[in-house]
Amino acid sequence: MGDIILEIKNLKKYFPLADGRTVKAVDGVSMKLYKGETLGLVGESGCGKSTIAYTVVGMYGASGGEVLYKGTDLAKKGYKRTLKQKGEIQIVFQDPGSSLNSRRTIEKSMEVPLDIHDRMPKEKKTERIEELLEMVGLPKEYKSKMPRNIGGGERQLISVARALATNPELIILDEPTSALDVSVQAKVINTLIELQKKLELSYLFITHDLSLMRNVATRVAILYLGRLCELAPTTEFFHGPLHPYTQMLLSSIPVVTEEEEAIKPGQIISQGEIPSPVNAPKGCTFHTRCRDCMEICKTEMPVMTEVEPEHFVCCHKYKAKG
Amino acid sequence: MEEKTNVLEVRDLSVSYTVANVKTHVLENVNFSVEKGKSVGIVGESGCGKTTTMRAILNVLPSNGTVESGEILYNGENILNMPNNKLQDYRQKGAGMIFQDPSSALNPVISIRNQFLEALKYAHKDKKLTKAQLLEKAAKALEQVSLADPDRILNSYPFQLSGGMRQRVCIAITLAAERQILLADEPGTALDVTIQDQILRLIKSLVEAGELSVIMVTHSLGVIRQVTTAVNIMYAGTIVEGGDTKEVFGHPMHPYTQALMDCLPKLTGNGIAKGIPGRIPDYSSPPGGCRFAPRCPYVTDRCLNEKPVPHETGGGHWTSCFKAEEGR
Repeated sequence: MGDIILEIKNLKKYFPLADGRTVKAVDGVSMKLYKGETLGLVGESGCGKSTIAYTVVGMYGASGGEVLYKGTDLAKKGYKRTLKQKGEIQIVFQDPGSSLNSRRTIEKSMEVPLDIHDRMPKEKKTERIEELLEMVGLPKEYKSKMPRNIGGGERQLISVARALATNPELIILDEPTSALDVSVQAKVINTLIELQKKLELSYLFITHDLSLMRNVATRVAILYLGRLCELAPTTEFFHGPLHPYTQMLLSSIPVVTEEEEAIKPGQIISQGEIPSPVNAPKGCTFHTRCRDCMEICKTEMPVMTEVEPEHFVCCHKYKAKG
Repeated sequence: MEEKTNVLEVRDLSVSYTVANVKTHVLENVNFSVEKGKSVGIVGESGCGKTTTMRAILNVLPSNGTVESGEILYNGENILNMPNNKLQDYRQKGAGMIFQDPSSALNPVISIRNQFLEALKYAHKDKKLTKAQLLEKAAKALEQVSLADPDRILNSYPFQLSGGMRQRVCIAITLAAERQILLADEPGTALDVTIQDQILRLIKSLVEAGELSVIMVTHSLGVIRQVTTAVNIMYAGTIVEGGDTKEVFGHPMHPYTQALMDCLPKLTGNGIAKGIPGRIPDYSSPPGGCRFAPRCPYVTDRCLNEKPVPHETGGGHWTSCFKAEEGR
């Protein structure tokens, strides 16, 4: 494994509610992101995937824990990120329809990061925008178009190009293709993979689509109600999922071929509802839906354990090796 | 062999919309049928006409939509020219729809009990049932959709239920009204995958128990494969391929179906295909020949000028493609 570009240590983000209760959106998540890899962060709605993303980018302050970017703790109270750090960590959002200003031409939208991070004369700016468009495989004439006049996939490519404007090293992709059709998704994903190779980017890829992660991620992390359940290299993860929630998640995916059906852990029928993060169950947060629930699960929170090299799981069923 | 009865048959349906004085030809010669007690899927990408088909089946096209030709037969009667009172009957007792977003399908300020009563009052109006009898039907339907404690559900308002529960309530209303057909428009898309799985299993078990016939439209090939017995692949307002679900997924014949299957990321992890170049055609001037021709890798002159017709390839599997017909 290479250098660590981002390390999250025991990250917490709580949101207070008007009635005095708190939503524990992220509750003690730790993980590392190596340079040049794609870490897939997967989970269902309300599990805290986006909260982690926003905390890393700095849109939210953390309630506790550390966000170490190249060794600097960005989440420390009172720490102000430098412009360079802001440029190096970029984010691409889910819905390109609302993340691009519908009343501005593409060129105007793409100028913003250049104006802030890289003041340059007008002609050079246009040149740079054309270069960025070319990088994501779009013709340079697109700069004078309005977002509504281009397709959803192309709009998402524009968002990617805009994120590239500041020469980032770490890009957080928050469900970048969830709003797109599969035939369009393929193009966006391929562009992202090419860019990663060419520019040595590291991706924190957030999604609910495990099939997509199988093909894109180097490692996969599964979140449930603000906590990590399992973290493993992709191939190992898909061939031997350990956490009961992961197994349930995998067996719930509707697939299209017999070969895929064979990979799914069979006979695990999804049951129960996702509890509210305001009132998360005591002990292991998953015990209310778990088919292997034991007494200890109802009272004691399990800890992340390395059961195989690089394969972590947070469940009482598994003991650390050795 | 048991005689097959079709509860619903769509024949040569063509629908157009007029937007700003421009006529857009959305559906073109759509044909499919639903056997009693079976589930049929329509799958296609956004803008391919799935929802328009559903709206036509309920005869609730928007005011700028016109049925150009074709008929929709419900138990042998064409719903497109039914008198209004019969049409109402059909909507109350014949076909019910569930939507992608169950929270906007239910009225937020009316209790679940009253939403049931509203639907059941009309569906069972000939039987002169008392309110208590109607509520009994509602409670029974809620049990059928595996909602424990029907009383609590009936007393709730939609915001007190989770997304999965709301979708179950929508299905239960259709069941309690004893409608024959359930039209499901992306029923799991707004839900989490583990909850979607529960809803899909529920719909499948209801069909297998003979309670319902289902028409399901979705963009997800996996969902269709899991739930339906027959499938129709839709592209740009035309059905390009159809047949037994297992057969179509096992041996896709139309270049569009093949490309679509390739684009899907697989759990087996074979990487990601290049995607389908181009976009769906402009409906105001659709291609003269096959509508997929401009994006098809196997296009010939014939494809550009002539409309392909369904070509049966055995086992009830058919495709509208000259490539399959000519055996290329």
